Amino acid sequence: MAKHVANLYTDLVEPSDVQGQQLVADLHAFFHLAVPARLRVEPVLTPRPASAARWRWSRFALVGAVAIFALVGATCLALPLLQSLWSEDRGLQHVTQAGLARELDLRQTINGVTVHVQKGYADANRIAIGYSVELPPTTPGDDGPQFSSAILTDDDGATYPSRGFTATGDSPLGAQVHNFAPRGVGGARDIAFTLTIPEVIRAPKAGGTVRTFRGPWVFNFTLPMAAARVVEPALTVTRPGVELTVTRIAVAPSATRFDYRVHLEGFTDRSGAGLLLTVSGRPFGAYADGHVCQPDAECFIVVPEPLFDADALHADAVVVIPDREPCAPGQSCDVGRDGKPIRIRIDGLVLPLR
Amino acid sequence: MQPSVTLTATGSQAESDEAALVRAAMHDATAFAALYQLYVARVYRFVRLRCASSDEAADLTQQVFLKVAAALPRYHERGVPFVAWLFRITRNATIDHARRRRAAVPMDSLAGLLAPDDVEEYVLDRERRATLASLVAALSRDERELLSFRFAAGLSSREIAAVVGASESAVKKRLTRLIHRMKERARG
Repeated sequence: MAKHVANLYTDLVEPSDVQGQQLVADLHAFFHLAVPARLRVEPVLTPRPASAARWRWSRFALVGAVAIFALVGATCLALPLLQSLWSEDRGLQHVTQAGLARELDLRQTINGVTVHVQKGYADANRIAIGYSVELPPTTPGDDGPQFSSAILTDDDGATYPSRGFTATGDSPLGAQVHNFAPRGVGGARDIAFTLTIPEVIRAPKAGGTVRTFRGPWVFNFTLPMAAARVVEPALTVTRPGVELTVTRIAVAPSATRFDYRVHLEGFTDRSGAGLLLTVSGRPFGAYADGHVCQPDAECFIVVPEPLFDADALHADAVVVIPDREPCAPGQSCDVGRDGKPIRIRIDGLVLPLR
Repeated sequence: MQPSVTLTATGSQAESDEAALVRAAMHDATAFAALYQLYVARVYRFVRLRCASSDEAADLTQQVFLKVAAALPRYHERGVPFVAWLFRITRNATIDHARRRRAAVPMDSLAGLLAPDDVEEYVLDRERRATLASLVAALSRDERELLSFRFAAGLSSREIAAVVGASESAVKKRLTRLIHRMKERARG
């Protein structure tokens, strides 16, 4: 054990220094504390996508917004705030331009906190709900980012799993677009949903404490569910020791889902085998719900890009096969302890979309 | 016949999983979840030794990730690895937290602080743990922080240097001297 752990600290102690090796092994164990179970739960928050320039602009805009807020009210500002966030998602931008997103305009105020559900969209690969939240005014120094969890159910009593959200707002006014995973591909139909927001959390800008505003805010609405076009390519790509099979592709207006599995030969002590697909310069996948996909397991990637009108996707891919032990600090992580690569590139992958 | 779309990777072959994941986390919810899973234990272990209880440390860990989520759109690598950027935020949050509490956790209570329930793999017997706790408690605050960076957060000397704004060689020298001194003290 001491020898194994000491290998992580070869920059600090010589291999011949037995006492030193024992000490670093003991320190490793000493600092290796158990993590509370509640921290192991997948977080519900995600950062908003934005470039640095966009962010700077937003901060100045939001400072101005706070001042205007008191004069003209939040309604006029909440609309563009959400629209900006909504249109940063290329898939949602596409469905909005195609007239497929629905304006909901539902509003509810509880204890001075107003939630305004503005937009909704549903297809076989995701359901997106956009809403703004107006918190009671406070001192600007206390205004940090705000987040809220949301629960989506339907008339059949089914609950739709959260796929995270994007959020914006550094003031009493914030907006979120929350994504949910649909249940199966199905056909086009209308679904009666209930969105429940149990609480809104405001993080401090600096210092201070997290403040929780309790609801619940509950909204009922119906959205048309757009169907997906399903392709079963049974496409297999092989590299030494690795076989990638794309089993199914579901193309919906706002996003495309790629189902795949990875088979390995000759790799040992690996913690998983996932696919990283780069689309429009953005990498997607490799990890699903916070976990690396396992060899031979059915995994999937949802790419929120507008690909519905395309015949095929030409993309570069990387099969990621992480080592079970974390890479030692300062060491190259190109190969695992079995001497085989951690990443295997598959350039020029052609995925049929029809 | 519709035209096909051609999309290619922009990352270099040498791009690490972490860099790809960070870029993905800027716009992909599941990637941020993965980033959280990847670092939550290391952040928790770093802040735990500055908090009075595991609950307090868990709250502080969650606040760190709230700050990371809010700041991630402003992150650009520019020579600072993501992990160093993350632990700059963690370190600042820990310092703010200690200021707010107005009293740091007394480090000489480490032996009691690190109860058996805290230890994931109970590989240290009580006596060895007590010895280590007294060795760690005898160090200065900066030295304890240095050890936390290396052993709790799992940072390399280069990454620690990027967090604290020192040179890699200076950090490595301080760490090796520290280990040597602790070894001498342990020998009695």
